[in-house]
Amino acid sequence: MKKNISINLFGTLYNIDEDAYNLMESYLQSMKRYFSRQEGGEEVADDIEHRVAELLWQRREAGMTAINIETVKEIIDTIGNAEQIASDSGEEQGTTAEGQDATFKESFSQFTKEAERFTRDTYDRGRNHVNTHHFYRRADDKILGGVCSGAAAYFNSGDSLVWRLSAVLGTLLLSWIGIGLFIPIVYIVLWLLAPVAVTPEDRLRMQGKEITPENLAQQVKEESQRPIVVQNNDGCAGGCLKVLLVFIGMIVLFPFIISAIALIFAIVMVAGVGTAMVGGLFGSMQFFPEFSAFVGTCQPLFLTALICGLIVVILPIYGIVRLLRGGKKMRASVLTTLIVVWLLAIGLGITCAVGTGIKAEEWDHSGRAKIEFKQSVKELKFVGWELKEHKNLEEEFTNRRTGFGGLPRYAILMEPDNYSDITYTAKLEKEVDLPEEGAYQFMSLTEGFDAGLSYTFSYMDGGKEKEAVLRPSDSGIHLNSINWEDLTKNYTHFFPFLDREDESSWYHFSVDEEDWVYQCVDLPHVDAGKFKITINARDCSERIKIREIKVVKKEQEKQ
Amino acid sequence: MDINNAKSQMRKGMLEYSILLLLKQQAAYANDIILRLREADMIVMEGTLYPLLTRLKNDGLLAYEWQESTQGPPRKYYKLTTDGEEALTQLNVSWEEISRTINFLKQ
Repeated sequence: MKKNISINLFGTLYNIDEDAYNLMESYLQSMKRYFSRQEGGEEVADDIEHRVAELLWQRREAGMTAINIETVKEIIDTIGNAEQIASDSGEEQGTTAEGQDATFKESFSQFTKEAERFTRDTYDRGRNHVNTHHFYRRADDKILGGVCSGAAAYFNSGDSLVWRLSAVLGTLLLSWIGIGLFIPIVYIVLWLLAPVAVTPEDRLRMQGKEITPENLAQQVKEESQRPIVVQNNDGCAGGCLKVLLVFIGMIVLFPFIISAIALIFAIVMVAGVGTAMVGGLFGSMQFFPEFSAFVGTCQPLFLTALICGLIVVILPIYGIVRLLRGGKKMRASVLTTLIVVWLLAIGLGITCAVGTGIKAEEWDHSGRAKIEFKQSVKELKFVGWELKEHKNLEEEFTNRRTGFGGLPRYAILMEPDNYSDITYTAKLEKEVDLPEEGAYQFMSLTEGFDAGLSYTFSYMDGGKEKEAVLRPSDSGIHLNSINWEDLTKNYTHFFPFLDREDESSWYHFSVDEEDWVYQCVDLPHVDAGKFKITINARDCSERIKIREIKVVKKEQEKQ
Repeated sequence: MDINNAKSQMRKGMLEYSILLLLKQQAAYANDIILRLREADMIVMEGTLYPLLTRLKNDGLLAYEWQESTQGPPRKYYKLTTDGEEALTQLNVSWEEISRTINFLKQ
């Protein structure tokens, strides 16, 4: 059922469907506007209107009671399929000056397209009818001001949706580098300056199409097929408010979106690390040791937060895309379900993210420094140390062989994170069993100094408790200042640490980059018994490598 | 060469001449002209006709008068002026020339 209206055309009443009327009206209007640019054009438009009336009349005489849109389209085809209107008018330009005879012959000579193009150009210039390509806002396809759809039409490229998404993403990206207001400002300026495409001519101009009766008729007909629903145009104030709301919303959503990107990045990393592990490429683990260790400590929380984050981000994007597409409305039940899922995802996601954050914080602090104990089979004898007390330190056993030739150069390593300025504390104890009393030496071989570091040997001497203390920060013998020859001649007391026959064992302690320090204190008499050696690292910030700390019976040959 | 374009150019060139010929016999309004042209197998888009008639009128070759009609809206009856008849004579001569040329070339 269609609404039917009566119109009076030159004294005769016609019944016409509303859509047919709109089409006819807009066709006649655009013809009027088109011909009004020419001399005597009003008359031509009037003639056309008369002709329309006549054709309508004929159809009514033939028994048509109400005029429908098909009839109007037929009439437009009859009259308006008039590419020739333009080119005939074009001939007018060249001919009036030269007389009728010339007109006739000239017309005949214009066989070629070139000639036609020439007359057309002359016509265009002569009529001051420049084919302008204007930027218009589209009233029929808009979310805010129709600027994006206008841009899509102006550049004749892409869907409005693409432009809208680009504007939104562009704003987000630009706000990253601090000029997030750029696109909104351009948008608002265009909104204020660019006119709305109201008439079919505007809509032709908007796409840079030539305004010819043919194009107009085409446009008008097309628009009748795809009715132009002009959404109510809110005033500038209301519009600006909308823009503000949208962009504020974007700024609020920004952290969410960024965290989503970060999470996606994280997934890729986890996947990458996982693959590396599966592939046995332990080398690549070295790149993300902290990350993989971190994920290892709080995997379920982390993954839940990840999934929730994705839901929180993807659902609204899906919604926005649907909205911009202008598709069918979602069923209420589906919509409600999605909203509930989204809200749940926000709640759960935030909870898990906070949980992950707390875990990460803990991990962060505990992971700032680590202590390693050598455990290779060969060095097991060194490991009798027990970590009694520690702060900001994480225990780690390793059998990693370091140094040239695969010889480990330390038994204990205490190492803070390169980039942290925190201090760590550790107290380690080891029991030594001295089966016989006598003169002993308490000695240590250390690389790295820290004022907070000391070694203590607590022993009994004639039934009295005594303590011997070594501080690597105090004086000692720097091994890289002596050579093998010196060593074998003058520093034979090192040999509890070294292989007397093997010069290469020495090189590891005499390299320039490292500063191994030997310290030794003589203990003239120690009772037999079990005693304790203590390593005290208090508020240390340096990396410390301990090759060995031991109590050795003083060699008799020296005396 | 675009043959359709050439054909339409040829017809277009003949259109004014045809209209003058047609109106020499009797005054007519747009619908008559369209029907007569169609009868003569001269295919004309109606939209073409109105600017052409207006132009010929403005050039003083045609004149018109309104006549009320019982069959629809009032009609604009066009007829040849003396200038129009003069122009037609010239066009007749031209046509003869063209026709001769073409026939000559065809042999």
